[in-house]
Amino acid sequence: MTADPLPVISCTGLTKSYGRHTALSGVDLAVAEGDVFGFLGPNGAGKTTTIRILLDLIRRDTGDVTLLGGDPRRDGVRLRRDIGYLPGELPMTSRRPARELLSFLARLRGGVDRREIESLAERFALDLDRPVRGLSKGNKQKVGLVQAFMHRPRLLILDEPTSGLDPLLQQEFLALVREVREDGRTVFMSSHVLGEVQDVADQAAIIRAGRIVALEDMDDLRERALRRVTMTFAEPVDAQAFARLDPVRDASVEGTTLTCTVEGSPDALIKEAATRTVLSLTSEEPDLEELFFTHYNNGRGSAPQEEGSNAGA
Amino acid sequence: MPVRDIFGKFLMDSRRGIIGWMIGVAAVTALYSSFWPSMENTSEAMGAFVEQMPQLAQAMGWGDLSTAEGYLGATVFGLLTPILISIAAIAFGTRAVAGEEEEGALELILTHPVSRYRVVVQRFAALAVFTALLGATIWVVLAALGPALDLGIPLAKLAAAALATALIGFCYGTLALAVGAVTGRRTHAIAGAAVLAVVGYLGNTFALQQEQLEWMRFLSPFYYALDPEPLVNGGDPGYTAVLVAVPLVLAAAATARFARRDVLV
Repeated sequence: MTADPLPVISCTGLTKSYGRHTALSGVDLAVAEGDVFGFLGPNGAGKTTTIRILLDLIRRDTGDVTLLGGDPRRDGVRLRRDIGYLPGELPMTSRRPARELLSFLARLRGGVDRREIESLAERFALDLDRPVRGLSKGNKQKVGLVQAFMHRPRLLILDEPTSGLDPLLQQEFLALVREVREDGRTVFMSSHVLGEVQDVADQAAIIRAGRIVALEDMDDLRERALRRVTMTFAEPVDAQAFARLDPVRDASVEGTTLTCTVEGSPDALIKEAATRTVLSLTSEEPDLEELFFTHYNNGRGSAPQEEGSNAGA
Repeated sequence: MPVRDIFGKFLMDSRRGIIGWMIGVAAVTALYSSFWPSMENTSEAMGAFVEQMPQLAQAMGWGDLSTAEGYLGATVFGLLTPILISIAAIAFGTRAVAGEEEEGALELILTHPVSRYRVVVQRFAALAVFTALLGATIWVVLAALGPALDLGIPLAKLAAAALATALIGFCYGTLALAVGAVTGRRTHAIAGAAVLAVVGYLGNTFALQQEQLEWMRFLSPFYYALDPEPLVNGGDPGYTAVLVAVPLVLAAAATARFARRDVLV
């Protein structure tokens, strides 16, 4: 079999407006088969709008979309057979058990191996016999994940997949995503937090105000990852000793507490700190906005204009 | 067969409501028809009452309260069950598209390999079954009580009247479904269908007293259902065809629009 030269998802010049409000103003994307692709952006940047166009829930104004070799508008039904989708919000108001909802959705797909449903439910510790209406947010999310993965689709489109999952289940989810990738299948997942995708994604695009502002190889991004580090020492320290270190930026000291930003490996900082007595250490990941401003405002010419960051859902 | 799943699932999910409405329709039908024997005994007094207000009587369809056909036609079939079934059908038709769309439940179905046509057509079919069940309820109750109440109306004519009543509800339920499918808004679906139901009812009752307003009755499903007096004459094929054609046209137009628009924005 020859390698498929067509990307699994390809969008060019995608635009969408709701009345006077512009949700997407020219989105270009290409996702290769077998990749895990992170689709990052603050809330309201246009992530969900893009995903809904891929699934043919909403119709683009202009631009081209190719999905698994077809057009979602023309070949929607056929394409959706090969797609598993997790919506950003799962409304579940039925009094019937989760198992019944899942078998209904499975029948819409023309049947799904029951064992696959059972094994996914077991992995996520989901009780299929409880009515979906009473489930917690996390448990509803699990039902959503089971229905997205159960038919082993070629392409998974996941809108904020880890929201509501506790850290243990997030790990289980990431393991599942890795297995899907090992099968050569493709995962397209959105998030407003870099941390959710950085461990597993191969590529990431950052969308902001309806436009893709960066396309990154995750290995590069990880190398340049910023962290905000706060350390408290037993004795007062000199800011200068840390500020001169290569990966350290914006070092400031207040009494015995050092606050700074570290780009890439924190090795040098740790070694310098280790010569003193460290009482506490916290390391925080910057949010996407901060990352965006640091990387793309300073580094690469002008940022896109502000078009209101709470644009369309 | 996966083909009927959306239809079957929607009916199953609605079964509490369906059973509730059937009980309500059965109760109203039984209650009012069981007044008939005592009405029959006071028919002279009723006749005098009607004579004093001929216009109101004509508007309300109280043509002849001294016969079982006249009494049932004025009460059960003229007012109570058509309105009850219309309310039920409007609620059902609203939920069929707009309600589930606003809830977000439609999104999950539409992201499966299912066409939009299939969703609307199967929910329209579910609405047809729902209104048919309500119409059948009227018929079953009257058929069962008929001998005891000495109604003396043939079962076929009761069936024709029940069918006509169910079709009134079917028209307004489809209207709610169609407005919901076009706009995606629950409130528009309910309000649009409810306003037209009121206009339709008035159009076939009070508007008849004003010559200038008489045209309104042609917009009213109540007119096509009640004017042929199915309890007396049996079903009228032409008028019944109108009551079937209207929902079919509405559903077709709604489906065409729903297939093209954005869902839930």
